[in-house]
Amino acid sequence: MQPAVEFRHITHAYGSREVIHDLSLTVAAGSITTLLGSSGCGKTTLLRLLAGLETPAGGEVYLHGTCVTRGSRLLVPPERRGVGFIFQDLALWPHMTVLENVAFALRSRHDADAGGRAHTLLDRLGIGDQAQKYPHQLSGGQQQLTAIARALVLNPSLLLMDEPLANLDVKIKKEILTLIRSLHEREGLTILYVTHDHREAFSLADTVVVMREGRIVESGTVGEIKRSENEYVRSFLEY
Amino acid sequence: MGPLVLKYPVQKLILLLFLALAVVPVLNILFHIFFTPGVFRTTLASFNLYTWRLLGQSLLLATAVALLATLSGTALGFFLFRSDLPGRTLLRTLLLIPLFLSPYLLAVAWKDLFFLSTGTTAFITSPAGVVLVLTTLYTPLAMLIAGTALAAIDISYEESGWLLAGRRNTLLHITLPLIRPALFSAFVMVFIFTLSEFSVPAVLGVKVFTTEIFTRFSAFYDHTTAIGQSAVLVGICFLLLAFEARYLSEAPFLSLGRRGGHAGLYRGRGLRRVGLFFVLFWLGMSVVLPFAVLTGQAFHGGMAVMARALALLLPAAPSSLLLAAGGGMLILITGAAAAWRRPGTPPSPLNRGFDLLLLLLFALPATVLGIALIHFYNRPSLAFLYGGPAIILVGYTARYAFLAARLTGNALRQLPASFDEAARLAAIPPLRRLLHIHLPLLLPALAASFLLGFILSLGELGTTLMVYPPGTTLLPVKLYTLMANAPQPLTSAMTLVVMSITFAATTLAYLLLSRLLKRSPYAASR
Repeated sequence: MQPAVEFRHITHAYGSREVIHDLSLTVAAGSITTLLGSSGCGKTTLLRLLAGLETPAGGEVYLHGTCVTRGSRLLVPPERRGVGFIFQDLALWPHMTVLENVAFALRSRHDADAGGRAHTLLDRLGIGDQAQKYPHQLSGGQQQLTAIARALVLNPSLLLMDEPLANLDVKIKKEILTLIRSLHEREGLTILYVTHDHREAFSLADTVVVMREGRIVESGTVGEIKRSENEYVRSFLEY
Repeated sequence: MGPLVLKYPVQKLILLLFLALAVVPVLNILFHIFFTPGVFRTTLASFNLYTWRLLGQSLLLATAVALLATLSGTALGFFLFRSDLPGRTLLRTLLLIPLFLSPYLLAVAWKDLFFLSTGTTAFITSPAGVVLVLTTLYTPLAMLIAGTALAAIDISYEESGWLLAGRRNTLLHITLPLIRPALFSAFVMVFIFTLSEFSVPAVLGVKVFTTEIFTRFSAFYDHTTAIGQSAVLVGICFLLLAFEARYLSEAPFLSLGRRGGHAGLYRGRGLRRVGLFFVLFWLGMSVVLPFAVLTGQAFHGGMAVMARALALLLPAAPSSLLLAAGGGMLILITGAAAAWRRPGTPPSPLNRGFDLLLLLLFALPATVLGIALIHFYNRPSLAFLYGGPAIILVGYTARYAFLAARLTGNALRQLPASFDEAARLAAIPPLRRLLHIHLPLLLPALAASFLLGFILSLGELGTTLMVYPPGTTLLPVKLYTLMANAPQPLTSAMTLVVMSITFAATTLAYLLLSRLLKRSPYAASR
């Protein structure tokens, strides 16, 4: 089966500071892969490179077999990559209601039933009754669900999630992780999930990729990572 | 991405137009001095002992005003931004009033105050009087700069100091050193404004370098010398800005609803008492007293004087308001174009370049800008611009677009990049992103830019006085020319009329904009 994502020999730098060093990684279609590592190890950068929000200094990025980035050239712009992205700060547009946030992309495509489709999605996620509220009127969990709905509204084949649950309490976190799992199973979505919390990573992932200073230290199934002999992985999992 | 010129073509067009209309005249004047045979030599020869003395006096006045305004502004900033003074938001707003009035109006009010209380205007019409008026005028600016810096200090720096060394030591050795760059900026900014100020010394009859340039130009028609002397002021301003360009160009005090900073408040009954006394004293001295006296003086001559003032000035009101509204709009458009970039991204070289250019034009003495515009536009081929109100609009825009650029730039900086990125990933086209996401969120800053531009244009005197075409009657110019021969009660009455028109127009514009903001999607997000 063709992989959903392929990074080939990616290098990336911010100014003179190199943050990704010759990194290669393959993500299987229909899998949930978590990128696990401490702050500043390059996990978020990798997601942004995949979405086309940044361009690498070198290497290639493939999406479903198509080369979308070659070196510093964007071959496919972000808007044509068909990816959903959930930002760490959620990036919900504060001047739009929940419904408007979700329906905006559909309306931009002149979808006559934008409101109806957005409402259906919100109902499925259990926040249909919040549709007319503004983001600041929602709880953290509801904001999270709105961001998920907005990312899913265009039916992406790939969902990128950048530490989306960082600021939620344990109970809500658990509920949303269960929801992400069920969405993945129902829709057959490929999910690339960034986190620094190994418990979160283990409860969700099929494959875990442990990163350190812009390099992959170890990758494998949850069981394989738990049994890893790598010193860094072991010390990381102790906390 | 695409080539640089094709990205945001409307922005590039606006900026190109601004360069051609406002920046080229200033560069042209410098070119004229250094490259026209004989001009440089004539300029040097015009500097006799009298001129040097005037320049020295201007520099001394600027130093005194900058020092006093920075000191008092810092104290006010501390009490109004970092202490638990009751009603500090209202007090802050009231103290800012002088900043929104044309300086010459304040000068008339002070003249009235001294005339009424001492029976003579001897003190207020001396260099010390100019220092007093300009200190009250620019202290709110220093308060804003110092106060914003004080409010941006992370409380944890000070809390650790309080635990180890007490509040007094923390204030002296941690807080004040942390805001040192802001204090220096306040000093430089007030220094430049005082050096450039024309209307206050002119109204108070004190000769300084800017009034000398004006006299040379308007009374003696000695254009070459006036242009040469202007270059000296331009040089001094450029030199000072070179030191401070970075901080002033960021101008964090020009922000709406600024984020960040978890500054705590200094508390205590004693501190509150001292603070309240000082703030109320300053408010009384700089706002309440001069305006109360001005009002008293205006009505001193009876209703007939007031009716005469109204009859003299009201005909000039419509054209003034119309031009000020046009100026506000052009200031907003130019400033926004100079600051525009994709939200959340750092300023581009184009943004930074224009920031600096606008700052230089902002700091340029108004009379010098006026001379530059006349020197460039006064030719038959450009008569369509020089002979009509367009030249005044160019002057307004050149003078104040910096403020709009900063307000917009700081608002853009506060928009997270992810707002735009989320829209891009959803394949929302650029124009739709601009109209539905960026503009609604920038609306308060854009409205504030227009309002500020409108108020400042309405009161602008220095450049307008130089460039206004025959047949155009504008409030500041009319008041300035009439007050030279008018008795004191009539001058006071006319000043009150101009102030009232300014206040009424500003309030109306504010109410209209507030209504617009309340109806906008932005309001719902608050």
